[in-house]
Amino acid sequence: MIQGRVPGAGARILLAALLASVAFPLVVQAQGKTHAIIVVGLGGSAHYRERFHRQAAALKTALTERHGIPAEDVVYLGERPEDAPDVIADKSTRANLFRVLGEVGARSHPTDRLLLVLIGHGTSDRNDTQFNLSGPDLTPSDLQTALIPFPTQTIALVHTGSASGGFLAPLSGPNRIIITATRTSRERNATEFPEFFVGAFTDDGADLDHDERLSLLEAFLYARQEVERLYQEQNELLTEHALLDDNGDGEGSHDAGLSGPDGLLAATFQLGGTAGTAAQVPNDPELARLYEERVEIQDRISQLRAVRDVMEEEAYLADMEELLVELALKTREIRAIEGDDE
Amino acid sequence: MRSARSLPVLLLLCTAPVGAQTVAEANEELRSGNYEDAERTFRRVLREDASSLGARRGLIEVLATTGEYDEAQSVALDAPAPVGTANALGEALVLSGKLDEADAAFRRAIDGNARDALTAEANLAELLFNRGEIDEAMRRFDRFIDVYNAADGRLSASELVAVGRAVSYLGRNEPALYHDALKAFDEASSIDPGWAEPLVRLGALFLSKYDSQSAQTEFNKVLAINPRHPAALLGLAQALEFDGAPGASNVLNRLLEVNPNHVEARALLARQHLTREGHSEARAEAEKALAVNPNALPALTALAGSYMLAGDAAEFREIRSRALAINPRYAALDATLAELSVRTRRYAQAVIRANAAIALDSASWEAWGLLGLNELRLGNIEEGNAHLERAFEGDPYNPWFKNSLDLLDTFERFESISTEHFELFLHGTESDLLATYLAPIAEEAYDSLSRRYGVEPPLPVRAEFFPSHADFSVRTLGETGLGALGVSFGSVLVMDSPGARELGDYNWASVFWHELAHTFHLGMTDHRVPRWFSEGLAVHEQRKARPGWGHQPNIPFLRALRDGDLKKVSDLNDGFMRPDYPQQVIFSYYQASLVFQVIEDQYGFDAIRDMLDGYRRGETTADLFESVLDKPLDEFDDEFDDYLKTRFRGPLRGLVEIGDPPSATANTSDLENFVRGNPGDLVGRLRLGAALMGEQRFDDAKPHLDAALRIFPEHGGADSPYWYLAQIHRAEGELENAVDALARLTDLSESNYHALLMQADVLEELGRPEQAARALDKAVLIWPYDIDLHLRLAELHSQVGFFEGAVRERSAVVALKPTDMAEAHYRLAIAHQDAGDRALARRAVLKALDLAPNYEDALELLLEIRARTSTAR
Repeated sequence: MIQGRVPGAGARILLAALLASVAFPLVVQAQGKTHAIIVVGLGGSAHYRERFHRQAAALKTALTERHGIPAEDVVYLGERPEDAPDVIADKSTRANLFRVLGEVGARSHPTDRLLLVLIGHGTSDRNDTQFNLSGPDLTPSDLQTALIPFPTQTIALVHTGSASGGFLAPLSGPNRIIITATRTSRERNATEFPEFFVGAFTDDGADLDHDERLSLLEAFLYARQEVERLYQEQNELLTEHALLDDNGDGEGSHDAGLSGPDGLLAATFQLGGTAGTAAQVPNDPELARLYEERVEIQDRISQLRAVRDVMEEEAYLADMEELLVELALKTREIRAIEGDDE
Repeated sequence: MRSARSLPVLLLLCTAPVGAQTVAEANEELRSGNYEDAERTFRRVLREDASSLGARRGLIEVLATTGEYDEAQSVALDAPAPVGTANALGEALVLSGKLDEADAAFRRAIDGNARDALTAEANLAELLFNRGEIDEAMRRFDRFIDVYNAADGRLSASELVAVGRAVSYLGRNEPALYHDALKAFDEASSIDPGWAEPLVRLGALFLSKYDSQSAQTEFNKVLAINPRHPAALLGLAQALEFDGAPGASNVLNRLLEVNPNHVEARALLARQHLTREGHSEARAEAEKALAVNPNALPALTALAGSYMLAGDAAEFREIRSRALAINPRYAALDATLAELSVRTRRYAQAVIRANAAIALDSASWEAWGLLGLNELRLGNIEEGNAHLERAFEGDPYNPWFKNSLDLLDTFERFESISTEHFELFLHGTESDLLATYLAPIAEEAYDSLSRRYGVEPPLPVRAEFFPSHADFSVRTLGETGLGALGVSFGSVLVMDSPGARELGDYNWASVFWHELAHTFHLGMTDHRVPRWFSEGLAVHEQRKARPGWGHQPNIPFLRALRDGDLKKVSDLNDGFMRPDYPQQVIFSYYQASLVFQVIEDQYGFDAIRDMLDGYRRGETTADLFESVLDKPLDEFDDEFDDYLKTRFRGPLRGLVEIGDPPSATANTSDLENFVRGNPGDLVGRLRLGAALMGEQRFDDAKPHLDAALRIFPEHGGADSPYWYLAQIHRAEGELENAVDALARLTDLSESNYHALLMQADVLEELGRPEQAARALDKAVLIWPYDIDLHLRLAELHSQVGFFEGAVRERSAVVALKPTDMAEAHYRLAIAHQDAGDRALARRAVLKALDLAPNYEDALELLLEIRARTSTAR
């Protein structure tokens, strides 16, 4: 386990984060705690009940064990709590979800973040779209109300089920990341998206920038691409088109990314990964200095990437290479000291 | 009461003129196709009353319908009041090509204000149009709009038909008017529902606007009442021909039984002969038509076509001049011959003919379209696009134009990649991937074929790959539904990309080789090589290229051979162009390929080259067998038949029907009983072996599978005994035997992806990474989209030190855009470094780091590459 690779908070770091938000997030924003709530809806059959529970349980484990969220900050509401009382906090009813959101909201700091993941079946009719729960289903307007306790916090809502596209526009807003497995509420087939979205947290393949942290953008891109690959391999027509909206305009992007219009906020919603369970400043002052110097190089890389479009490709690569060499050498220095410490 | 009620009927019978009643009955006979009875009745009435206009017109119609044109004219000329029959006379004169006299007759009817003057007006305008006086004709047609509008619904059925005809002609400048023509014919039909004419006209209009189904509905309505109606039969035959459906010839023969002098029917028959390259038969039909009507433009067109295709330029020019002397603006001749050129794969000639058509009539939208489509086939994309736009503007009903233009709109998503001899035109989503494999195969094929044939086709050869089969079909034909995998237009090849097909039914590299072989054949013969020759030779080339490529013998082929359902070599072109049954085309490919195997084995490859030279000079297949092989074609037919029966003696014996074969639902026990009684039955052995495999009874299955192979050792299909035996051997740990079976199988089948993967697995288990890699290399030529396959191949190549191969596979992974692109670039960088190319390694690692700047392994690699570079300096 590599520890303490994230430098301490401060004005400089914030600047770096702002730069990163227009280029590539090399460092984590100054962020508070992350609270995660996983809600599993009605399975409808043993097959889906087991599948949804398996996915939710795996996600819960990954969030706590791989991504550094304390266990008390991850709540799993499931269809049958009695089947797994150690894992499932309570039954997944609308009332329970409202209650949990209220409790989490009450103990959240203004800079905290909420990750709400819905795993289950969605349906839609002419008037509305719902996420199927025991008792009354959950609608976008229900959630809008239930999220009132999070006025300043960054909220990430991930609806991984069928017809989830209908949740995107009503819940879109500033400081919100909405990910849906389908483009509209009319894509009603059971989705493959949750399998790969959860896989992004449980496996290693989704860390696309190899920084040993996972952003929601990476998780989305990974899941979207793997879903497409699965359909392609099975030679079937793609019946689910995942979307991400994080600029608050209510228009989701299938091709979300760092070049916008959607993807920039999701890129900064990072989970610690294997190395980031405790984003600590190194105690060793020499190491702290090296970290700071490395962040400075990363900043320059971000700045260079920001002007890439106006540069000749060769010139860009040449400049980038020099910065990367600096970064590589700095990383070697850090590793050498960390290796000695170990 | 009863007598009182019947009185009015009796009175009516007494008061109606006898002649009128009989004419009405005769007209009914005419409408139902009892032409002989109708003629007798009309003649009887005329004998009694020569002034009966109805009887005289009816008789003229019967005679014209049955092809007695001269007699029809004399009956018309005998009329006491000539104006009344002038129009009918004109129509009969047109049918025998007496155009000046017809013109005068129509004018007499118009000037004399005959009852059918409006029909005469339409006939005259049509005659003028068909003699090249298009402006004058269009002015006359234009007046019909006023006639229709002024009549305010008071036009008779025949007048409405005249209006519909006129408005149809106007549609060429104002396409919306076709709807008005339709309306006029509909109205005519509702006024006189039993009259065939409006329905036939409706059908023809639908067909002219490419709606064959609606056209057939109208023609069939007529034929339900009168199964002998010549115009409806002609329309139906044209519609069937349009659809490429069988039966058009039968319909035409029915027509010619009614009217042996039907010029258009003969011309259509002649065109059919031409499309299957039967020049002399075509000429004979055309001459028969011209004997009836020396000015028959469709017959002159077919005749000109026969000379054009036979390469007789002087005769072609003379016949074309004859046609243009009749109608100096007759664009249809050149347009039809452009279409015919396409059917015989002469695309440059099609462009010449389409241009000639446009020069005669700039409103020939068909010609503009043919020009555009064939420019596209020649690779002139911009010109083709522009001309198609113009064609579609003039004829917005044409689905081929629209489909092609829609497809052209997508071309901006394709990329052109140049190699030494090729321009590869590949969809942007797969261009990097396909080019990686296609470029070396293309160059290898080019090198091999150019050495064999000693020529080079016009360069570069443009090869287009479409990820959608529908798009490939539209690119080829302008419509969807083409069953082929690839097409060669000469120096333009168009193919399905592998993703357009199901995994396992397509080896794109093999098909590419086949199509490129056509490019050589077409180039060497100036596109005169017959289809059978080029197809057979192209399959022969596939088999020369790699074991297992190209068509292979299978049980349906052997059954066709056993049952005498294959074409003789001398008729093999019909196996492609006019197959007796759909599968015959597939059988013909294999059969034709064996012809070239025999020729090359017995006479050497020079003989094949000499034959191609002969085709270029315009010689026929029969001539070439005589001159090059010193063998009359019919003698070769017999020898080849003997060859097939000798070559497949074993499996043919195994296909002899003995008693009742077990039903499709027979269980294992039934099959065992059957095989016990018929141990030499190939299918019985195969089915039993497969059934036992299904029950995991490997030891029981083995002897039956071995027996099937002894009977038919070339069986490489999906149910090949080799496949089952490979599985048995593998399950029993007999890996060498499994590898042998898989090697035999993959040498008999070009697209058995799963067999190749299993072959690679077993070879890896046996510790033969190099051979395993070779099996996977073959699998990529079937399905290049599996990232895991490329990763595995890359590892194998690296393992044996074939770093160029590893680079290729790592490049393929990058091209497939895996989720983790940074890692894909990083691995590619390592492969480049292993291959000794530090510049590319540096570039690849920079790409990895551009995506993931903190990727520590990549950062280390970058430092390593730089260190080595500086050391090298």
